[in-house]
Amino acid sequence: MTGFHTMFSTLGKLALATTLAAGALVAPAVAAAPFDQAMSIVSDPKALATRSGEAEQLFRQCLSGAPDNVEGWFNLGLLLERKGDLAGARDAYQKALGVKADYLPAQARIAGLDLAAGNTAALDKLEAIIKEDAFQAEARNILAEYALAQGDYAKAILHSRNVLVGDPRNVNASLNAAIAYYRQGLIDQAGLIATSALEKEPNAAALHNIMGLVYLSKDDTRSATEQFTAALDGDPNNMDALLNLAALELAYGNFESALKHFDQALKIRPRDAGVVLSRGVALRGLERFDEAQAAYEQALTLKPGFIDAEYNLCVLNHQFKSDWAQAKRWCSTYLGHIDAANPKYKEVQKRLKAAEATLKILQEKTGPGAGGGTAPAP
Amino acid sequence: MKRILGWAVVAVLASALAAPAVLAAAPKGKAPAAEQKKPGFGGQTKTRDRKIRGDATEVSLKQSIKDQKQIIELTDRKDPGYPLQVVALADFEWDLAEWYGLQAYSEAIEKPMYEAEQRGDKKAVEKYKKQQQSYLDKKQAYQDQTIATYKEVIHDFPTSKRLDEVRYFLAYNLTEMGRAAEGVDEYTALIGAHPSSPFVPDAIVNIGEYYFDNNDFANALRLYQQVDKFPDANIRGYAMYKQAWCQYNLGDHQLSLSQFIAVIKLAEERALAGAKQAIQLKREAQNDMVLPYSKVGRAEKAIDFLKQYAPERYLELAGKLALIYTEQNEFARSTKLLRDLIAEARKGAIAGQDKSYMVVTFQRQIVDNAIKSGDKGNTVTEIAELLRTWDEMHAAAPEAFQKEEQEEIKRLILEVAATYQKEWDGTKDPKTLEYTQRLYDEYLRVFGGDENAYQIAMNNALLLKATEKFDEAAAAFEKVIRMRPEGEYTDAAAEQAVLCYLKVVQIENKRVKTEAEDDLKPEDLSPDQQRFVSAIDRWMEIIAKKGPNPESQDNIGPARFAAAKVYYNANQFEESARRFVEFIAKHPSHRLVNDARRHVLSAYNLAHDVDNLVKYANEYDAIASLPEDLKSDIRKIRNELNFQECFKFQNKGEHLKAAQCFEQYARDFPNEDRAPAAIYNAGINYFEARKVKKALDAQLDLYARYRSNELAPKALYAMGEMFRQTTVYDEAVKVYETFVRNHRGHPLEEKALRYASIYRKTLGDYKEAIANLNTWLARFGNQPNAPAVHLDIIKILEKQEKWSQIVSAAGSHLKKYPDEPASVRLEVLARRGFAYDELGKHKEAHAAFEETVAYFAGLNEAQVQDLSMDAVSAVAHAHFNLGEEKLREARRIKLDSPSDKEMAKAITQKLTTLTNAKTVYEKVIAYHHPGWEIAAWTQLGAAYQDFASSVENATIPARIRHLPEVVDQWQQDMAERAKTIRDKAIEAYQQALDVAHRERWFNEYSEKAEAAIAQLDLTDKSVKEFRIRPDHLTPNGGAPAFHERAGASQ
Repeated sequence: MTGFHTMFSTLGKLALATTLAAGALVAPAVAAAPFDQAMSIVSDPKALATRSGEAEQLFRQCLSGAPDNVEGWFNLGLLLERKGDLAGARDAYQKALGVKADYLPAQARIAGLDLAAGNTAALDKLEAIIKEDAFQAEARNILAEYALAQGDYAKAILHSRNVLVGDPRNVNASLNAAIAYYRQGLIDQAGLIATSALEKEPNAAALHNIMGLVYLSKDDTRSATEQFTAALDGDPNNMDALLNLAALELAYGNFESALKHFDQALKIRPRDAGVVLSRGVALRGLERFDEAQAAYEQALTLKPGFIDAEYNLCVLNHQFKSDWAQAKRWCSTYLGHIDAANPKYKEVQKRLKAAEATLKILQEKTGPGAGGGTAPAP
Repeated sequence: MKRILGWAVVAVLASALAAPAVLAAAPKGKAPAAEQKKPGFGGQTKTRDRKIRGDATEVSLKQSIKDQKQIIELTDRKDPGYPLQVVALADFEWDLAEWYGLQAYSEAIEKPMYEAEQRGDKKAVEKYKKQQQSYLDKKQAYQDQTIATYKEVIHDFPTSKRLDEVRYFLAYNLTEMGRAAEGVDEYTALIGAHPSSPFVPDAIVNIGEYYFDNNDFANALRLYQQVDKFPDANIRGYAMYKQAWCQYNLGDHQLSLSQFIAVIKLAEERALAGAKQAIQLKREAQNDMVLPYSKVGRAEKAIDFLKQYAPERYLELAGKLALIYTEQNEFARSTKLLRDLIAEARKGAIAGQDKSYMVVTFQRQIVDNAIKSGDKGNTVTEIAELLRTWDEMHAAAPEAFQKEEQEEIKRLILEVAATYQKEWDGTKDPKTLEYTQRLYDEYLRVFGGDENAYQIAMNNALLLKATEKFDEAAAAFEKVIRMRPEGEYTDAAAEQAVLCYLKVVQIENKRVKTEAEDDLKPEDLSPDQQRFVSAIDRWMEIIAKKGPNPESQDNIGPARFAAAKVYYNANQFEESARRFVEFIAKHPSHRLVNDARRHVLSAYNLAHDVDNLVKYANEYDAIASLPEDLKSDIRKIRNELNFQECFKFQNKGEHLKAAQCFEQYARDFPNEDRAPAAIYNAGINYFEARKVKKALDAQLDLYARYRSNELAPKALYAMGEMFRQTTVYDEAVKVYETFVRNHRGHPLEEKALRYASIYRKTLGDYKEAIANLNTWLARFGNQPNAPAVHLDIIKILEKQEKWSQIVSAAGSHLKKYPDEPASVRLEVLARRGFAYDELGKHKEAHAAFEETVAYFAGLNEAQVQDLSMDAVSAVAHAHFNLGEEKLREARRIKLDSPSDKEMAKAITQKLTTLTNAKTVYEKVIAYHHPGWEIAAWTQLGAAYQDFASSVENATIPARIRHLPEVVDQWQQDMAERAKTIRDKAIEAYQQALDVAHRERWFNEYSEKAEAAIAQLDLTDKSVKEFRIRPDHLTPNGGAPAFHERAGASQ
């Protein structure tokens, strides 16, 4: 049969010939209600975004009555990891392993935490897990993420495919595969994977987000906006979609909405200098100049030497606040960090000159010390 | 007693007026009756200027007579005022006679008499008639009394004052009483006895009227002409007017026309002098002059002629002239004039007023000509044009005009349609029917909301059905129902809609689906199908309420069957089975009953509803008369029950158990017919249970072991689907391609080939993608989307940067698909240009871009509306490239000459070329494709920016280089000039950003514009600050996969 030899040799590469996941486990006798209630929250991204605390309580309630519920511990770990409580998450995964030592999802998540902490030895653990279960989704997805970070896209795709062979609906596997293509500039392939995955999981926020980027790369801003919006419909806390949509809104000049999205993003990631800086741009657009100034300065505090913030402060003080002394300060600071080849060089040089000239005039009129106030606009 | 006066009387009159020369002319006699025309304007001579008061009663009038009689009694008969008192009494008696006349025909009698007639109350009718006659008798008596009194005065007081007046009104009243001949005698006597009386001209005209009314136009003319001798008489204008009429009726059309013109001129003079009647006379003469013009004037000169003598009314009069042509059966002439009139009216202002709305009337007259000429096709076309004109113009017309014209148009269309329909009833000529239907259609289109619309809509639907336009007829019946859901035609329309749908929707009775050959995924009903089943359901409801219509009851069964089959075809098996079961219950003896049973079993089988399958198999098996093939099916079902049992797991979502069950069945019954299906189903269920490897193994096993089985291709296809769904696209395409090679003609072949092409292209396997597309074109090239598929090949070649091949492929494409959709053609034309450009063949590229632009320019509005965004982008891009050529040209012009003259020349040249580029970019902007609008504005900005830099950095002229102060001044001048140009650059960039913001469309050009503005305009408030970019993408950014308790699901 033409074509089939090749096909199955590839399948061999994908390790399909190995043993499948362990058989069905005996369901522990647990109080079903809290677990099921919690599952109904966490299975719905929208509910998860707003009621994760409630879900956490329900899992805890369930586990207090039935501490041998391995999935309960695992899911609690996922929730804690998601909210940034990595120690709590690790503890929950460990408890899952306490119930069932060979519970591979928990082993994989712990290895993932180790890897995120810089412990590359965790990679061996993850490899061991997929040797045991070729389609182990958690391990493969973590390995795919690591491969993406390393720029090893072929490996990322291989891991993702193996997850999909075991679970064709796994959103993160489809997402990782699509990212691998996207980052290689293979936009159509990325779009194809995301589209196919969305057929199965039409509300998956992360897939809508990558579709938005696919459209953006084709200059189709409208469709991109629709996709980012769809992503946020599916999961109002999807950070990528929040930031992408807010960035587009800034470009449209829709500052109110951009500010709202940046505020939402900062609730999730309050120390992100880029988001703080962008929020400042939205505030400037809304003519809330002092708040913009504060935001830029906060961005600089969060990320010292953040020259983008210096430029924004230069523009804000020169063009919008007419604070010539501050303008001079930030424009010259920025100029000190870039060279003449920088596309902003000439512009900032002009701003600096204008600020200096105005200061000079003011000083001539009122004597040294005059800097801010109501000097004529440049 | 009426008598016609002879030539002798006229001669007497003539001699009395001493005008023998005029009378010497021989009479021309009477015009033939058929050609005689009369004015609608008359009674211009002197009349009694007294009117009965509105509050006058019999008593009050009789009292006046009584009072007058007392006055006469008290007056001495020799008193010179006595005769006038007697005349006054006669006048009161005439008033009373008039009053009785009014009573005879008053509402108080006419109304009850009419009502009595209507209800057949002969007695009452008789009573009112008697009452009426009594009044008339009294009228007659008093009139006779008046005449007698007048005569008595004339006889007894021959020297009385104002006797001419008494004679005049004696004659006048006699004429009024219908005794015209006696009236003429009295007028003649007046003329003879009082030749210098001011009543003479009026008396002559009244005698003329007598002849005119008796169609003796020659004598009438002579009499009217006598009035010319009284140039100051008020009646002269009217006499001239009547002369024109006599001349017309005598066939002297040219003279008649001249006479009417003379009347118009005289009337204008008199109107200026304040004579009120003159205005009306002028109007009448203007109206009537078109009659003789119709005989002697040229149609094409009519507008100019009428404009001269009726500048305020010439449109209306020319319309009247056209009507006369129509009356004269000169339809083409009439229509020609009307078309000229339409052109004239469309010019707008006529005598300071916009009369353009009159084109509606003119077009209606054209329709009338078409009707009268008997050309149905032309009539229908002109009616369509009339309605189009109505749509266009009526809003600008005065309200009264709109109302009147609308009624006229409606009446006209309905009359024509009714005539045609009646004719069709007799002749059955399909063309006539089609015309009728088109008329109804047009009527409904424009007057769909009026009181006739409902009836017409039903008629229209019936005619559509009669013309076998079943699709449209069904929609028309649906419309009738929507117009009045509870209306009188609702039931009939519901039934007729179904009958039409039954003709439209091809329902094949016997074929049932198989899992092997058919795609069994449930589909939504198409809008047509949805309407069809809704129509059937609605009809069935009506039947349930009112019982069947004997004329159409034979269709009830097939309709129920058809609705069930529509659901079956859409793979909605549960609903289909329910309907087939209902059909069997309601039509147990119908010829389709066994087909219905076959479908019930098939539907439950395909729905894997084992319980119902068993139930109905048992029920049908008990029927003795069941055909053998159905019995055989039932036996098969019984044998397959083990197989069917597995579906119970599947239906409960227990896919792993279902897969294992099917696998077990295939192992236990490897030689049963269902064994391959069991393996196939095992594969499907394994996949659903996320056991992809096992799923693939199962399908491969099936394909290998049962290669000749009908399910084998489907198994192969399923493997492709599994790879596709697990994003293993490179393997999926290989499977699809194998499928295409091995299973030519299979229903899934086209889909497999389509997927293979798409994925090859997406994966960057361009060679294979093109091979697949070529295979598609070879096998399915007759499908309407073939040109689009070929365009795909060109797009792939573009990705491969195979420019020469694109040029060649585009050339073949343009020849092969000359009638392709405009969207595809534009893309191909533009792409050929892009390819030439890449090949450095700029001349050819330029020609290709020009051709693209020209092709777009040749599209009509509807075609432009239908264009895809890609097509608009392609033509805009092609046009943009033409602008780029100009821009490059401008950039090549250097401002580096040390000579002032050369420099000035270069600046002008650069500016001109830039202006040319701007013109082209503005055309690009006009496509309203945001991406290219932004690009065009940005490039324009860039061009000005370059220009500004060139000016600013221009070479210093040699002659001033040694003069530093002059150089400073020169540089300042150049900087100022550059600033002006730079302002234009900023403006263009700003436009680019405005489009970007408005359309929410950002691309490399909007970024370029943003960066440029940040440089050029420090006051610009648009966002230039650093901020995050929309590029956030986090691996594993999806929600984590929370785990269900083990064993809770599969």
